[in-house]
Amino acid sequence: MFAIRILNFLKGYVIVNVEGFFLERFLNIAAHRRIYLWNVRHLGSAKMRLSISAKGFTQIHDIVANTQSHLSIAAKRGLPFIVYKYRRRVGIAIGLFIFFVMIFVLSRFIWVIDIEYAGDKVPTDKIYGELAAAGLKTGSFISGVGKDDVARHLMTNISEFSWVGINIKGTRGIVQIKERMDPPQMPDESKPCHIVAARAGVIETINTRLGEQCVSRGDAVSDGQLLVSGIADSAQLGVRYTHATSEIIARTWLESSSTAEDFILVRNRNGAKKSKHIISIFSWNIPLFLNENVDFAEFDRETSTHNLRLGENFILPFAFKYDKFYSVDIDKQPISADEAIANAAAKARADLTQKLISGDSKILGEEVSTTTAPTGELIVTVSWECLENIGKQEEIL
Amino acid sequence: MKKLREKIADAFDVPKDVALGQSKIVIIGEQEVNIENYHGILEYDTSIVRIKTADKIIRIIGSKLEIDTITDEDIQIVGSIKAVEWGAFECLP
Repeated sequence: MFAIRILNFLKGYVIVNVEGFFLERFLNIAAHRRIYLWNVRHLGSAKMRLSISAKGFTQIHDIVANTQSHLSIAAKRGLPFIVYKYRRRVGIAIGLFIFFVMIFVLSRFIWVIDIEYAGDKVPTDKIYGELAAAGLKTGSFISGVGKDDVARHLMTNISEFSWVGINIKGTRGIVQIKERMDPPQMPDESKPCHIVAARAGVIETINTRLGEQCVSRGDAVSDGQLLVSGIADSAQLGVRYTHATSEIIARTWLESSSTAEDFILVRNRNGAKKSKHIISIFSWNIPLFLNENVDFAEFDRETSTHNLRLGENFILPFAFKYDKFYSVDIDKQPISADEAIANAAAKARADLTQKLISGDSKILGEEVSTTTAPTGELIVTVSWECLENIGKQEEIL
Repeated sequence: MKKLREKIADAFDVPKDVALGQSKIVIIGEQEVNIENYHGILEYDTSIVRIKTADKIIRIIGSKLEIDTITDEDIQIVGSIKAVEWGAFECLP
């Protein structure tokens, strides 16, 4: 019944007053003729008010005459009456029409491209470039984009991608990319080579699979020293060249120093700020500011973009952007001596981590010491004792 | 005869109001009475509404009674309802 009432609003209905002595008969005849009535209310002994559809209203005149009643219209409600009232206002109709057409047309293009890419081998600019070359860019017509073709184009042109999936949701294009995982490098066993030390140290363990071992456990070796030789010389077989293979773990010592600074640089916003607002339609940016140059020496910049959207996926090409510039003072904030030493030690450790041969190296122990330079500054030195695989292959030429 | 029809209706699980041509009356709280399959309105007043159904007259007594919806088969009455009664055919007043 409720749905029918909504329908009646759209078709238009009238609230009428019926007066007479045979009201029940009126109701019976109207109901029998399937004229839908509702909200029937008694207003006294011979009067009632009811709502009737506009179409029904045209059909009840003979019933009214038949039952010797009197009809009067109390109110007219519904869409047809509203339209009639505004029938002269063509502008509204035109505006409404243009609005719907624009929404319809604009939602047939792609306005945003999202790239779901978990790796970092390929810069995003390049990805956008390839997508544009394949036909998928902001402003391209949705029906003109062949999802499979674009995906294939991307996979062929960028070799680091093993799978590209393209989905278009609303006006948003979603590109999913999976990087190719390189197969593990099989060591090239064809070239003959020696194994030399990558760093000085004391040998802890040495397991030679192929080659002539020249050092043994407990030996101190220097940087570049020959550890396993690929040249085998024996009386029976003559000189043979092999690809020496060996795992050599040695104890090494690394050291790094850095100066302790008794202050740290802090960025403090000092209150002065400027903002620039831009309205962007399609790709035109209309600036809404007079041309002030940002003349702060140092500043923090915050950029926000608000896109006009109808729900999560229907993004329209109208956006409102603003940049806020906050002037920043860079102050030197003094810190305590302990903090200064800790900062310097952290810097030294970062440096040492870079110097380690590989991620498998184990750090056995650490020592931190401070010395005072002749200039009065404090120098912090971090020393590490590590177990590292110091074997390095060197080709025999 | 009526008993036989009733038994057949029960056996086939056909709803009784459809099989026997009876009216279905739904009373919701003290505010609403829906009568499906009625024949006509006999009297309508703010305190009494009399509805004719197949073989009985239903009298609804209350105050501020309004007819919410009326079609050719169903009628819905709202208001403060005090009593719903059945009576045999009465002479129209």
